[in-house]
Amino acid sequence: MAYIKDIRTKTFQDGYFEYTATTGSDIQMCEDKEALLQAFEGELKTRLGACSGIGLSNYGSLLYTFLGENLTEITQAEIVSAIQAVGDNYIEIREVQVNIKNVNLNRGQIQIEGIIMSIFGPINFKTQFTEKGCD
Amino acid sequence: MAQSGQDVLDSLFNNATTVGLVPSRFERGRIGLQYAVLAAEIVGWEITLDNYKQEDYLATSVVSDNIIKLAAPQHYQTPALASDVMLQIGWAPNYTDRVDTILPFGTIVGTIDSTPIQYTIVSQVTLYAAQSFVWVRARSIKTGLDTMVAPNMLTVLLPAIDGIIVTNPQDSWGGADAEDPTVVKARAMGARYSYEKGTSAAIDLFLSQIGLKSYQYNLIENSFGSGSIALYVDTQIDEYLNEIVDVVNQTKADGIYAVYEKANVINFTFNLSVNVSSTIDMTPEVRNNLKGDITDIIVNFVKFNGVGQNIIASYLIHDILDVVIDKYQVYNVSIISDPSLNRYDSQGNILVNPNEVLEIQNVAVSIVTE
Repeated sequence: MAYIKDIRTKTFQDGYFEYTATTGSDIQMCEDKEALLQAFEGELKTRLGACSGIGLSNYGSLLYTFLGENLTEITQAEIVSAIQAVGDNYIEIREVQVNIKNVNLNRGQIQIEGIIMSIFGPINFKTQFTEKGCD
Repeated sequence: MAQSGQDVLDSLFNNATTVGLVPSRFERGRIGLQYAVLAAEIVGWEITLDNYKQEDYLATSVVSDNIIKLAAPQHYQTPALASDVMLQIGWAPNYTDRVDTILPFGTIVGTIDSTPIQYTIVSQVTLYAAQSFVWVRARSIKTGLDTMVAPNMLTVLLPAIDGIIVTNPQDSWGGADAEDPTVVKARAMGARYSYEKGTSAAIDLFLSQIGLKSYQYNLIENSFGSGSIALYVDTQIDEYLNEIVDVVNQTKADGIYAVYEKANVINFTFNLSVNVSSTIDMTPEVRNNLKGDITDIIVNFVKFNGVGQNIIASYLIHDILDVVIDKYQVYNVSIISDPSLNRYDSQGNILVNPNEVLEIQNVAVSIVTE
């Protein structure tokens, strides 16, 4: 019995834009770990405040504000903090451990790896963010 | 009343968990985001519906256009009015090349401002060479209070004509703005109040709402002098009369003196003489049917004639003849009056006092075959 359930999404090759995964004409569903990871990643790449119009003013992250910034110790710490702040929005997540893998300033990309300590067990995540915004 | 977004979201998730689409509420998932979008849209529509509801009643409407439309049955908005003015069109001093000049309908005269107030003359006028000036009436092109002009403001003739000058020695008149919607609303509500409060029509309306038919009572205005009413009701039930009194007391304007009484029942016997053509075979059965029909007609007539209303003999005879003239070949019906009752006037009408109601005791019909 799943605790949470959601529509499964896939991303295009750019790793950013999503579409609904289907089998034939039916949508696919995902559960627990997968559903939580998908939601977490989706929120990371959404600009904080972008969903205010639908009553979710605290949905999204501040990661987009670091695109194009110089990667200093302080900036790294702030990025980690921004990611962990997203984790704080989920009662299913106890802690997010973040390791900044690479920041490509020329391409405006941030590659991140981490582990989400959740009620479903540890979930590894690896994602990258481009200069494209949610909105 | 529109629901809040949270209420709608709760409802969507409750439905989703009830039908088993999701096991629990996961607001930040894809389904949660979609529901948030749906909730925002639904709330928007509910607010729209609330606005519609607000706009369907004059007292709550706030949109000017709606106020004017809703008020129209009670009070029609006074429209914006154009201004009128008398123009004096004459020859310029010392102008010697005078030629008879026609100024056609629609010639424009305006003020000298950068955004001039303009009038058009409303009839063709000719300024003859021998005249000093002519008078002509003009009306503002636009409507509203701001079309009014003070004396000698209209001095520009369009197109200008050599040697001719124009002015308005007097103020304009008549220009007015359309009635403000808040005033329209107030006047319409006031009109509605006057329809429904303190008038006999209002009392009739409220009595009908408690099931009292118009023939069951007699409402007399100014019965005991100005500012009084009398109400006589065809009932013998005290409780019913009390209920009626309560309604009228709530409806009538304060300060109106009112008397409420049960109508006096007058037992009455009708005596009629009916002449029937000899060509019809008046068997006992036919006679009984004729008497029965006439009795029914009279009973109904008296019932619906109502409290305190005279019985107009010609109306009653007409009703009877309408039914029996062909059916029984009746060619005459007459009501036989009883002078001792002192209830008949010179036309044979039956007099009923305002506080009385007739009750048919008997209908005696004598049939004469000729």
